[in-house]
Amino acid sequence: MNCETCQLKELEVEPREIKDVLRCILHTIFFHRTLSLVRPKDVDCEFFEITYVQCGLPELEKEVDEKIDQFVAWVEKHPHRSSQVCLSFFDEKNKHPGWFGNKTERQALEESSSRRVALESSIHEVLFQIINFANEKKDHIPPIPDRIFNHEISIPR
Amino acid sequence: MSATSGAAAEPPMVEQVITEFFAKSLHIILESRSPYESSRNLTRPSPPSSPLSGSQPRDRWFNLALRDCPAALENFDLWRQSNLEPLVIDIVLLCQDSTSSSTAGCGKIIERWIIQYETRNFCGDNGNGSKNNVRKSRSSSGEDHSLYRATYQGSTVLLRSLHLVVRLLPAYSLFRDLNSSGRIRPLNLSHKISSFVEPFTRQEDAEMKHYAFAPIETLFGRLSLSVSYVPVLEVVAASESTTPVPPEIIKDYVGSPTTDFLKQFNSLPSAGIAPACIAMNRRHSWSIEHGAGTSVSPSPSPTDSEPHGSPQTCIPLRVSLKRGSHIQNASPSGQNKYTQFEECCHPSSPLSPSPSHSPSGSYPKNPLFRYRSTPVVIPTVKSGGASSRLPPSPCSKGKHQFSSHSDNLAPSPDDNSNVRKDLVSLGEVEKDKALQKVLSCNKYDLGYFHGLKLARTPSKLFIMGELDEHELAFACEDKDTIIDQLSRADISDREEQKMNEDAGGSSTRSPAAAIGALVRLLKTAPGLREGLQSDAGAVVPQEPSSVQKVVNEEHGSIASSSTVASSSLLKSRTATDALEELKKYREIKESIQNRRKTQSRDTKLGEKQTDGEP
Repeated sequence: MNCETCQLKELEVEPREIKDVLRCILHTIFFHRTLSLVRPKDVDCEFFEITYVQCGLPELEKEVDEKIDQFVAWVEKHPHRSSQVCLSFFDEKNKHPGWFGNKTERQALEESSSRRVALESSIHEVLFQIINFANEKKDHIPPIPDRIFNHEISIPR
Repeated sequence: MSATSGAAAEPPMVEQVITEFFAKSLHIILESRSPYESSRNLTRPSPPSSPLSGSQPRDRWFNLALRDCPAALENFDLWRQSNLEPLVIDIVLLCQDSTSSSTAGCGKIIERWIIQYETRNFCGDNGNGSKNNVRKSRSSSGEDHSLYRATYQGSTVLLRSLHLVVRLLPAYSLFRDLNSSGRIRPLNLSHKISSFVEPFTRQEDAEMKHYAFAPIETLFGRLSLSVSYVPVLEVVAASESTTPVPPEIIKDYVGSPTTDFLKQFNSLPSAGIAPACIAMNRRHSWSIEHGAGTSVSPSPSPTDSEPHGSPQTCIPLRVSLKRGSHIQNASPSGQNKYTQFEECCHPSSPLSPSPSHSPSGSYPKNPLFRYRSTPVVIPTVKSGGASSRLPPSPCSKGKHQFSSHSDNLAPSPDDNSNVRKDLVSLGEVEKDKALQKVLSCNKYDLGYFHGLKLARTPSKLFIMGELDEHELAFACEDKDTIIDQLSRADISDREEQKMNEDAGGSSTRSPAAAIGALVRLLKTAPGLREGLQSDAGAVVPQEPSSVQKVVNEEHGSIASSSTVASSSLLKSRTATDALEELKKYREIKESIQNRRKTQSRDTKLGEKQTDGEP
């Protein structure tokens, strides 16, 4: 399996920050990998002085929020455990994660207090990680479709 | 857009991609760095349901639909000569001079974006085998297409990264601040577009950080994008600490804070004052400063110049209000606070850390209305004013009738005004005698005494609180009861009486004082039946009026009674007396006229008789 994988830096976030952080990271990835026509939408983080960009696709926003809610519910049921969220992109031609399968993210979430400033800096690092990876690894990207690539957001169960 | 001589030219499609890449990059950067060019685009409608609908042709490039093109891009395609020229965009932070309206002032480059296409002849040989293979297989159109796709796709991803990075750099926060403040702050962001790179000074280069995006390889070169930026913008904090307009203490404004009633505001809860003050310290179009850092502000305590528990101050508010009103900034008072509160019409405060507290709702209404001049003594010749001594009057309409100062001895409403004037002119008569006259009358009559409407029957004296003759506040069984009640309101007012008389009847005496005088009269007044007899026997040695003299001369039979009547009149002047006098005058007049007629007849008869005799 030829799969470009990007493992992002681990982040220690508080439970109430999970949604905010995950939205920021996931939408940044989607923004870089949604090569169809998008109307960028600036969104301010709730807990951090970070402005990220969404694709402006309501369906995508809804899907991301649903997945995040499921993840948060899992975290509440399993406190004091680390977990990760994985975002994968699939090629249409190959239903299985083929040569375009992307395991683009791993994130460890812990219920521990953390300094917000340090976390904000870490989020910056993660975002630049995504930017660098998205720009460096793009040869494997198939031709630009007229819609978003097939994808899957995997959360622990 | 042609490559320089000696260098292989990119395929036309790639050249077009490169050209559009420059334009799109400039668009993305200026959209987030030019405050007032991008502010025009804030009303852009929400994205349509279909991504392709409503998109402009240029939006299709790189599938990135941006807001309206800034002004800097309007002529971009015209002045740009070649893709080989770098596109240098300097973002300059301007510190405007507060004394001048121009934007001249200190300028500092806080960001430099460099977009350039480097042909492989100029850039270093990366030694990448794949690129060499691409060059060798250029001839096929399919490969050209693939090259185009790769370039285009790479540019698409890069521009998305650029769109995100411009929002992660520190200058974006400043851009947002300037957009929201509306050019009030002494700072401004400007940009400079050029096709050459001015080297930084050592100092500038030392404080700058650099970030370079992954370049886009093309057939004969590469597209690169990089940024040099100042990691920390210290100018933001510096601007917040300056106060362009120094606060002043204005002492002579309306409503001195030393007024006692204003100090009542000190007892008001602090949430009603300080948060309101804080709530107004917000990022507002008229605020001069950003609203943080300064220290002076009103507070309930006269000695405390800081609002309790508030990191923000009210100086911006003070400064703005100072333009139109007089505000003290170091002498907090209820009046000062209220003026600030009253002036402010905008209670929302996105920046206020205080709890949400509507300053317009709970604050006591219009303490300015409570401010009043020195008390004015209102003439109290009113029946209603005697409430402390007499039972309250059920009807209030009559109070106004007592406001006239000339009504101290005013006759009943249906009386002749001429008589009233005569009574007023006879102001030498003490008012206590007026009450005696009231009591000496032996018939039901209506009179006024010091604003008190008195009505009496032979057996009862009514003190009416109102003018309505048919409304009797209460009835006193006898004179003694009246005296007892009125004696409670015996206030020395003889000086006021004299003043009132001198002034033609103007009186400011209180009803209580009037009642006091009435009491004195009642005490010294003879009995109702005795009055007339005593009057007849004890004529007050007063100089009779001219009318009285005529009466004495002309009418002998009536003279005695008129004398008695005149003496009675002199003793107490009431409306009844005036009526009686008027009647007597009329009788006298008629008698005189009758006498003349009779005399004339006698003379005529005598003349006829004399004429008849030889």
